[in-house]
Amino acid sequence: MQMQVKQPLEEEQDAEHQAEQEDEYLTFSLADEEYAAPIMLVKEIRAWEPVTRVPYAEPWECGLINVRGAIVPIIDLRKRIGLTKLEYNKHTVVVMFAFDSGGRERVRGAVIDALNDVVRFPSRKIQPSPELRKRKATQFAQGVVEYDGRMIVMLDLIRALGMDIEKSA
Amino acid sequence: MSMDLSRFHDVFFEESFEAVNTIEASLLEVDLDAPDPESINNIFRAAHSIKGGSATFGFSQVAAYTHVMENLLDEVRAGKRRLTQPIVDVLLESVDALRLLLSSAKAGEDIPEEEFAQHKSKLEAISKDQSSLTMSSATLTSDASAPVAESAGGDDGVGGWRVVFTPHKEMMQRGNDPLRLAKEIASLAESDAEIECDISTLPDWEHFEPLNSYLGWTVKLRKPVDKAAIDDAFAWVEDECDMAIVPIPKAQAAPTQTEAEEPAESSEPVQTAEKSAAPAAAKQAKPAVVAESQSIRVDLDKVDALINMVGELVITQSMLNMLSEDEALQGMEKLLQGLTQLKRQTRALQEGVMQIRMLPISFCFNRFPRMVRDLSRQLGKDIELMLSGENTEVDKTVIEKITDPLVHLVRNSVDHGIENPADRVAKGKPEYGSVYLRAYHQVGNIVIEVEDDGKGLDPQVLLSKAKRKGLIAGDAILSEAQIFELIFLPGFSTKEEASDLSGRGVGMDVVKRNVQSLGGSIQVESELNRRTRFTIRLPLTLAIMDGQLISLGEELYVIPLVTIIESLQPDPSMINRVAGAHETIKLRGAYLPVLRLSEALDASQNEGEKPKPLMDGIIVIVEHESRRFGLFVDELLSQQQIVIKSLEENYRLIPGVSAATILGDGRVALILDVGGLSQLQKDSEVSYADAG
Repeated sequence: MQMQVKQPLEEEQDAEHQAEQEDEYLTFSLADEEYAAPIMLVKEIRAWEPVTRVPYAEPWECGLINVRGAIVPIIDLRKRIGLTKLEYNKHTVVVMFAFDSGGRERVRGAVIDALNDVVRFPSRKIQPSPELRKRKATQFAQGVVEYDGRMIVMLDLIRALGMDIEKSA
Repeated sequence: MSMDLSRFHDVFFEESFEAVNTIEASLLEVDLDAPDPESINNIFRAAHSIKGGSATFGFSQVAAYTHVMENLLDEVRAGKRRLTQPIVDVLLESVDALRLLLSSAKAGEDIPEEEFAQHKSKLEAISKDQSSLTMSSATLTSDASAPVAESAGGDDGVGGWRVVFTPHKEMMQRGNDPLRLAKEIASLAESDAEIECDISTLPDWEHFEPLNSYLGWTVKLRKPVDKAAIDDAFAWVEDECDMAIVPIPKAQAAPTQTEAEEPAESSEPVQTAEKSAAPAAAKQAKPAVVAESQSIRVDLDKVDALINMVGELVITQSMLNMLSEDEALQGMEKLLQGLTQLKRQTRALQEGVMQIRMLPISFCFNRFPRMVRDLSRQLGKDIELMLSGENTEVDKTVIEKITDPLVHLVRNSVDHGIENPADRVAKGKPEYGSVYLRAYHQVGNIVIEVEDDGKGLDPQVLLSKAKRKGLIAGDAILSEAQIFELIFLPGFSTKEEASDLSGRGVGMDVVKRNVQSLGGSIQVESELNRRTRFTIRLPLTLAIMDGQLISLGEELYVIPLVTIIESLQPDPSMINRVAGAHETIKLRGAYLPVLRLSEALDASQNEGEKPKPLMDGIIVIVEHESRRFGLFVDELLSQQQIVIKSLEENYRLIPGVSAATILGDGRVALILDVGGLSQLQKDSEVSYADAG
């Protein structure tokens, strides 16, 4: 399956700022860490709601919900990247990401701890992620970015949301 | 002004293929001894519309071919030619050729010139064949009451024609272009034509309606053109304009004399108009009465989006309904009334929207008369196909997917089922065989039957063959029904030698698989030397189905109702264990394996908790590919119609699950795939066996 992550960069060709094109990212936290995903991929943000369990699912797959008539899988990002699970409550946030797959939209939701911010920075500021210890989180990182004195991890969404392992399933 | 016509191509092709089907169906219906003028008119009109369309869009091969066809048909229509079997045969062949031409044109290719000429010459040959010409044209010419007007163009007295026509106001609104018509007529005489436009009825600007036509034309043809060609041009608009076709005597046809001829003829048009229009009107009256069903073409995606939206509306409505039971709202009569009304309207809307996808099964059945006719000729059999219930409506996708399996079954009946005429007579049966194709509704399903009065299935032959092929154990004991089921096994074929008709590597197993993939079932009954009947049961639509809601602890699942044979609460005496592990239940003498659904679906179980005894739950007996087994569940809940939602759209396939649905409260429930569960159940047996 060919999954395409649309680069916002290609879309807006602002002549004046071409050299310094800034993209918008949604940042959110998982444990004490801050993560980012391109805002173009964010379809909507919902509150946690009970899911329908799926047999033979991965431990980090929560289950399925109904989003206006479509069946959408929800995954727990904390568990996916190897952190302990946090109990869900009415403040738990689910970010719905939409990808373009062969002209069709595929939607998947991710449970996160909390939303932080919408930030802008040029993509050239993204650096390769430091190879610290072998931690599960780093395999889902595309890179890191320094913003306002904070370090933000750029998530490799397709892998983090488990969309790359489906073809083998 | 140039216009891009390509955007109309799809519609043109769709309509043309429909017209081809009409021609074919009408040809098959025609009674040669007493041809119905209406059906011949139908054929003619269909051919004419293809010709017109293809010429407009520049598909020259199609236009050239239909032109020849049309000429031949016109002679038949005019009674100049008798419709004979050879002509019908050639016309049927030309239907195939036309389909080929249309598909090629659609694909943007031309048929190689040589091949095209071959198709065309066959048609031309029969057009030139004099044998079927009747004497009527000769009698007509000698008939004193209709002198020159009806004679063929080459007649000595006629040097040309004066065609006067005044379109009715609405002609352009019906999509006909009077100017084009004038030009078409003029073109018949090539350069020897003159067009005059009558603007006397043009209204004032204030009263001018751009969509109405106010003009009249007089076209003078100074060549002895065949009058039929002029009639042809008017075939579509006869009742949309006043017209007269007046012969111009040869002497006056010369250009220099046109002025002189004018006053002499001025009184005639009115008279002739009545004369020639009256029979035309009588001829057309019948088809005009046939009510055309109004329809539009809609992209299926749009309909699906609509169905989705209605599905959501249904869920919202049932949510509101649940809220209305809240005590705080009990006093609000008007609100509650409104909710009741909403409920009724939502249901009506849902039914209406689902109806959009429904088409009569005749869309599929229509191909069979031709197929059976061709096959039976090829095989030297005399076979009558009887259709019933063609108007039974089914979902479009069901029609599309059921066609191939039906083709296979009908072929089988014609090829294997019905005996040769000699054998039939020897058996004391009528010489001609009968194949029945029936469709009808039965409790939320459509049932399609393919039956023949042929030789039937011989259980002994089937059984020994299955044993020889190793499909069943040599000492297996089967009931007659089970034996008939054997023909659905992969690798089974009832005929030793595959004939070129049916031996296409597609067996009954594929038929069965296709039917099952539609959520349906197929059964076979047979009486030796009497009949064989295949009965297919299908859901009316693939978008909704009847489901049985069941619970496993907190979880809800849906079992497709068609797969359920029965449900029961087992009595301890029915329960047995095989090898200490496999639970079976004994039901009317048969031992059926039981699959614990919670295990199969990997549902969480508290550590150390003992499996629940079978007596404490319900066993749902289901069937897949003639294999019956029990599913152990906690509780049976309601039966309801459910809207099927794809899992793969955003997720992936899950073993034992076919799709999902959304329940009234907005929750997602998984729809179980009995075939997949059957596999899981068999696999679990193997692993037990391995362990033991």
